[in-house]
Amino acid sequence: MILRANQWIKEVYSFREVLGHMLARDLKVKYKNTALGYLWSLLNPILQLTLLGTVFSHVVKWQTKDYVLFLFSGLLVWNFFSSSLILASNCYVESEHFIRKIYLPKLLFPLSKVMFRMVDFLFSLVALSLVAMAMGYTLRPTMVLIPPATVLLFFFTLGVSVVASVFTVYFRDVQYLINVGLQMMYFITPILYPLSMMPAHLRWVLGANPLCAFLTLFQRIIYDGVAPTAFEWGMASGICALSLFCGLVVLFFTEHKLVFRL
Amino acid sequence: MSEARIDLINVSIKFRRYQLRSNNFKEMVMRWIKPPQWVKEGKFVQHYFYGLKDINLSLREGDRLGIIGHNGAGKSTLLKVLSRVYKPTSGELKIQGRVAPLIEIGAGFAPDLSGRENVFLNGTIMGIPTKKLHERMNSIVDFSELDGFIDTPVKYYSTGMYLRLAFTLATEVIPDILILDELYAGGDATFVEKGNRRLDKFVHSSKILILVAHQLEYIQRFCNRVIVMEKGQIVGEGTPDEMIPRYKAHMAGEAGVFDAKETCQ
Repeated sequence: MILRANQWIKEVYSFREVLGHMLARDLKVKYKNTALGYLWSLLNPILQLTLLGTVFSHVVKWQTKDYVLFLFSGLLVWNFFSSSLILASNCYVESEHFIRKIYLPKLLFPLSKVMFRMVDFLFSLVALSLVAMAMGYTLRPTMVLIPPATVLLFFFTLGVSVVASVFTVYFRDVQYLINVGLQMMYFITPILYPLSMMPAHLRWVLGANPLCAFLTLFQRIIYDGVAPTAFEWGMASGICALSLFCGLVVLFFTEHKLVFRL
Repeated sequence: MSEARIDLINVSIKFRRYQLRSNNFKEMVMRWIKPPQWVKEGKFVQHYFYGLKDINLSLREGDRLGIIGHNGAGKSTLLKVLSRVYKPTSGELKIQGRVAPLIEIGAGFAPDLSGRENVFLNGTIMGIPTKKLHERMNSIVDFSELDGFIDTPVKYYSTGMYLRLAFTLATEVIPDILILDELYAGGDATFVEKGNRRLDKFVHSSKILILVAHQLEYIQRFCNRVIVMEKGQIVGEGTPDEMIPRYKAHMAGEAGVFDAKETCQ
């Protein structure tokens, strides 16, 4: 198993140019025929933040201090995770014509999709930072902790995406379950409202939500402006490792069978 | 640069019968709750069959192998094993050298990308470095006669343009091992001639060529070894001069020319 993982890393490395071109293909196709092109990657999160920020601070009148920063950190994590999962879960099915005719390492497909969303994540990070600065916030020194937190989030999402994409090959229903599951998860993830607004007897629900560990990291760094505690780092790392492990196990047992199931 | 070589040792591929595959929870759960008739009666329908059975084959540089056989004899399955799309159920496959699989024309082309972008995507899949593709771009455009269309998305290409680009790309940087399956289906006569000349050149560069064709004249022209396949097995092997007349006799209905053991178990 470890040997195979090692072999996968080597394979992905030897196919790195293919990975680059796959990524480039997705990026090019995404904004083809739009007038604003890549600007949408900046505009989208800004509009989303403005909309939600307006609704919840003026209409619902939640008294959360620096609500925009809170939303910022939540949306960043959530958008990356949910859009990666939706996109990647379909990656083998939509590449059927590829997989049945040409050999490519199977890890390449979900990896390229999650990397594609990572590009969006980085755009969002820039866009949202610009908004925050325009609103008079200054960049916090804790923001240097964003890269390690992002790495953890990336590999966590990759693991979940691999599992979802393989399951989708076996049962096409999974893609619909993912949509419903994500909607459910959206409400039990403290994106719109802080943890403290959740009734105490329901907080365990959040603990059962693995994404919360990563959300906490980003909220600490961006919203609270303090470094996450060792426990919080450990929690996120543990969940990340578990997710990656599950992804690799699933791929280990199915990588050569996928082609017969498409 | 090490020598190109291919070895297949006792390679078999077992396929599942299609109707057993289920792609949704409902079917799976239903089968569990209410098993189909054949399970209840304890009758085990054969749900596997061999696509390939005990294939032994070794190819060295200079070998140009033609594979002939009826539809469903396992020719394409064998090509898929050689290009690593199918992993053998049992047996071993050893390959040394860069493989350019041209199993189906333009297999990996993304319709929304231009010809140029597809050359990069598919070229790197075939193991050609991006730098080399940059250098060869002009000659690819020339040979495929796509001047003026190379930056058009390939979804607007005609079948002929598609085919010319794919063929040119696979043969532009001469691979160690070239795998071709019925390549000229749809090409016009002039391009076929041009392509043939290019393949002639390839033939002289003493790498490995593997060709599946129904038109036996292609086998005669390009190959120096032929295998005849039947029911997933190699039933005859030899030079084109030996095998092609025998195969023709077999096709004409003469019994006992090639015999395959019964394998559907």
